[in-house]
Amino acid sequence: MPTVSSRASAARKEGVPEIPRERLHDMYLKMLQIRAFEEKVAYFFSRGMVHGTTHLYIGEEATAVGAIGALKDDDIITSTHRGHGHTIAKGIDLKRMMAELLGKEDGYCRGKGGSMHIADLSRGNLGANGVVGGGIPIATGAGITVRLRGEEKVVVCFFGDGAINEGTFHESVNMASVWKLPVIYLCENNQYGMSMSINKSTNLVDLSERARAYGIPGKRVDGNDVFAVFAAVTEARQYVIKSGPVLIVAETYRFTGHSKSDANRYRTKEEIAEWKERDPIPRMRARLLESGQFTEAQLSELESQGRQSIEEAVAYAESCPEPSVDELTTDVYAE
Amino acid sequence: MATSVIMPKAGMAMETGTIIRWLKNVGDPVTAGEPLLEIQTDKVAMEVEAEASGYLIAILRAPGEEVAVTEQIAFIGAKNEKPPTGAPAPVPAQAPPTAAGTPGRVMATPAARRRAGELGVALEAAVATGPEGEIRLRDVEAVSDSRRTASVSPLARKIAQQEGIDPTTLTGTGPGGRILRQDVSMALAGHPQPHATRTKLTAVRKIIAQRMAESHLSIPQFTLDTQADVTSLLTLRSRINAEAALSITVNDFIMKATAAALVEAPYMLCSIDSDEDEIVQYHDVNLGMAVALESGLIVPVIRGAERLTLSALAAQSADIVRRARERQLTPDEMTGGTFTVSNLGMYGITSFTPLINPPEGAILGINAARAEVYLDAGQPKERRLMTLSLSVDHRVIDGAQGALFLQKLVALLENPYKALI
Amino acid sequence: MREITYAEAIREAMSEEMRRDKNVFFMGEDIGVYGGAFGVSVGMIEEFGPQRVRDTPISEAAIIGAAAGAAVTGSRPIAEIQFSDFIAIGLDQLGNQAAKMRYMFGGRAQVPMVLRAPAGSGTGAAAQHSQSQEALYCHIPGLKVVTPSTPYDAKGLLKSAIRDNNPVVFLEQKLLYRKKGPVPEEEYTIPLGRADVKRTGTDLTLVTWGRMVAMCLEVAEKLAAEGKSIEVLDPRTLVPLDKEAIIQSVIRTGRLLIVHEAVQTAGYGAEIAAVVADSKAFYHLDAPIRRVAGFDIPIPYNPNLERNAVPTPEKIEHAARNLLR
Repeated sequence: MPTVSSRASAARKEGVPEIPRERLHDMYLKMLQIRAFEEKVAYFFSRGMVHGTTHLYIGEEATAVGAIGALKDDDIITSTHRGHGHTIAKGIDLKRMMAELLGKEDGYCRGKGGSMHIADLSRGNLGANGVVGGGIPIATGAGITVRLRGEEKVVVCFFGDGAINEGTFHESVNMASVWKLPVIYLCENNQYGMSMSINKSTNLVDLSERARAYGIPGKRVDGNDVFAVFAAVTEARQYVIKSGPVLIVAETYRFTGHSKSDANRYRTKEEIAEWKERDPIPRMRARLLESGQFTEAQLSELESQGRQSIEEAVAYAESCPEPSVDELTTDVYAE
Repeated sequence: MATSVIMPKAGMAMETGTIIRWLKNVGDPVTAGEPLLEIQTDKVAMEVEAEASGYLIAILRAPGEEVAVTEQIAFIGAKNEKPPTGAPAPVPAQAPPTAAGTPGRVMATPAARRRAGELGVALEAAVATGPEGEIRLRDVEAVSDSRRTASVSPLARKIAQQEGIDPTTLTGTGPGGRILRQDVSMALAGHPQPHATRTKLTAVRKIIAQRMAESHLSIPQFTLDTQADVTSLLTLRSRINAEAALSITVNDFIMKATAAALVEAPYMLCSIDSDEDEIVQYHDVNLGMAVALESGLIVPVIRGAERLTLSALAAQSADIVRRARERQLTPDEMTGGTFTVSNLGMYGITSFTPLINPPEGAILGINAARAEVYLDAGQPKERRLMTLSLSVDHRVIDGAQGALFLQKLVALLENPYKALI
Repeated sequence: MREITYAEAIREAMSEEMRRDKNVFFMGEDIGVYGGAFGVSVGMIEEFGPQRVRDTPISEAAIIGAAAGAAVTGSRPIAEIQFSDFIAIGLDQLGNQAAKMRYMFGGRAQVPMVLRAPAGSGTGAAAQHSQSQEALYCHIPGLKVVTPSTPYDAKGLLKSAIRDNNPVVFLEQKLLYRKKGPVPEEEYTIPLGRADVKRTGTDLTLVTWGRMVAMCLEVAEKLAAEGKSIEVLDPRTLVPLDKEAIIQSVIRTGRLLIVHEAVQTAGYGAEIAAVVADSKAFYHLDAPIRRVAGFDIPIPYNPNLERNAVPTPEKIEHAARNLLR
């Protein structure tokens, strides 16, 4: 029985791809912002200041940042219920994102969507999704639009190890494979559905082998190595534009429970500790220093910038007004 | 335990009342104080309020029936309570609706209920023809139609039914062509239909007829005419209304002045009791105000008129007129007058001989105010003159006394501020 | 005026809209080379090519979800589901995704897609291929639901549905595909949300849609010979419903009978009855509101059982007569 950690080892890739410094700067900052944002959200929840529930991306930052870092600005993504990482990586106004979490009028969804439904169509972010596997057909459909218009864009469809067993995964990937749609199906295998370990839910150990069922390329990467993810998606992007979909499986781990009501009874403290040693942020930090492109001071500066931007977002969101009850029945239909 | 509803004694002299219409259906909830039915007394049409809360569980007398005071006409009780046995069986209007449903509740469609309300038809009066025994719109229309066009009185219908003739084929001599018992009798006796139509006197008309005959036959009355220059009065009235945003009528002004004048002329408030050989001296200035309604002339009373300010008097008079039209006057408001004012000015009448309203001693008739040009030191000017026609009972008030009263009244009308202080 | 079939009218609507707007495309099972299970799209792949007329695998969830994804990124897809019964397979994509994206995203998205599917019984296809489930979709805010009863209505309404910026569920009737009716040559559209009085009358308002409309018109014609005047009102669009037209009709006639093929319990007729009972028309009702609808059963296979599982002219006539007593 493969252990969770042995899966990760199998996926690790060596080497740092050539990335412009500006891009590295942006990617590292985003990793920090995701981490700081999620920690702040956790803090709010523990104090009962946020309505509903949320699903934190802490520990998985490298997957979102590495993947989206390899995209062009007008590429499209679909996200999941654990979508804050994708949303921040794609570029979002943190203030308005925080406002949405607090249910405020100036939030991205005017307070009507909340954590699980944040979207920004202007930046090609087709939204987080409250249904497991719910975004996969939507990503496929976005690929149809790209093909109809003859554009040079790709769609990255994020989904988890739980969704890979949904019927929508099968139907959508098959359809995309037949029509050669430019979609990168990116499975974030954080080893657990809600409480069910991947070992118990899926017979296949290397999920990327499912690609063969559709006759498309499949690849497995270390999801906590931002450079490995970046490299895989860069390669995939060039491929899918011409030749149709691919499946990438990123092995990663979430440090917190599934949602706020999760007491982590289905995994061991040892396992969590082991994965924390592979925390993607210190790993990236080390490689940036190693590469000589960044100094210690510069990295510390970025770290405080990351935290600062979250504090500003919080201050803004707290000062925003609530939506009016008069807005309750608006925006159901388009004119 | 059901409460019985009786025909109320709504006036000292009242002996019977006629039910005009029920305002609630059997089965409807009733709150104490809510109007329950409309009745006609000899003086006035009025609403009767429920004295208890609960549900109207039985109606014993139908619209059109004349009922002696204190007789039972309905019962109020708990929902679905049966009316007491021993009480006269509730009178069904024609055939009661036999629809399955809450016992005692009339089954009728929403359209039928609405129309019944609009037409003032009691649902109990309708014959249900709906397939489930419910009252339909057409059933309510039928009641209304039968009342309006070929309407037949219950007695006429009963006799006609007994004699096997169709009453709707007859010409009715009742109001609106209503077929009455006499029409059926005449038809049965083979008499030809008459050339003139006869209508039974309504209660109101009967009373007026009696009283006016009495006045004319028993009181030797004569009328004094005089003129008042009401130019200032009209101007003052306009100013008051504009500046104080009131609606004081000319009649209100005249009544105020009359009340003030009567205070100075108590001899006008007399009448004679010839049976006892006594002069009756009234101490109150209770002004009767003649109001013309479609059904006839009525004279509601404003009590203590001399103590009311002009605006209070005006408010009361407006209220009385409104309620008179809505048949909401109480019998007490119709009695106790000691002097009557009758205004025909709005019809352009220039002089008339009002008949005294017994047992009063005098009556003041008001005529139209007309514009006239006169010469004041050679200069033409306009003034408004109004004729006052005062009829007095010569047995107890002489011409000189009447004239004196008129002088006082004219003085007040021509210097209206005096009436207000 | 020329007469064409209901199927031809639908084809014309799709083709005209695809010629008019490059963003419109069409996908579904067997719609391309095969011309559609009911022949609706014969000839279309030849005119528009396989990019815009896409044969799909048998994947209802992906068909509906991809339509949503294409729509939210600026295309105007028409997705066909071969039997409306199978919309259930993709109900998450229709009800949780397409219907809700606009609202969940604070009005910052629109999903201009049309989901077409044939509904209704009468072909012996039995329980899983014969349902009328419009009530399910009417109950999901964010969707519009259209049920045309004639070729004229089908063409005009489908063009409007394609031009509408919301997800529209367009439920066609299998048994009507071959029926002909007058359809003008000139271009026209019929706005969504507007009812059509198919026959005016004074004594009874009969609200009905889909295949039942023709049946109700037959009954009205028959009863007219006896001096009974029945008004047949076809809402055409169920959501948004033309409430005012129905209310005004009932105010005039005082009686309401609702006829639908779908199962009676929690059918859309219940909604219409409630709308009328809760309106000023209530005070004009001179009889109870009644429905003639499908029994609360799956559609049976045997032809006679199948025919009796849903309203028949006899049942409609009986109900109408009762109300007119």
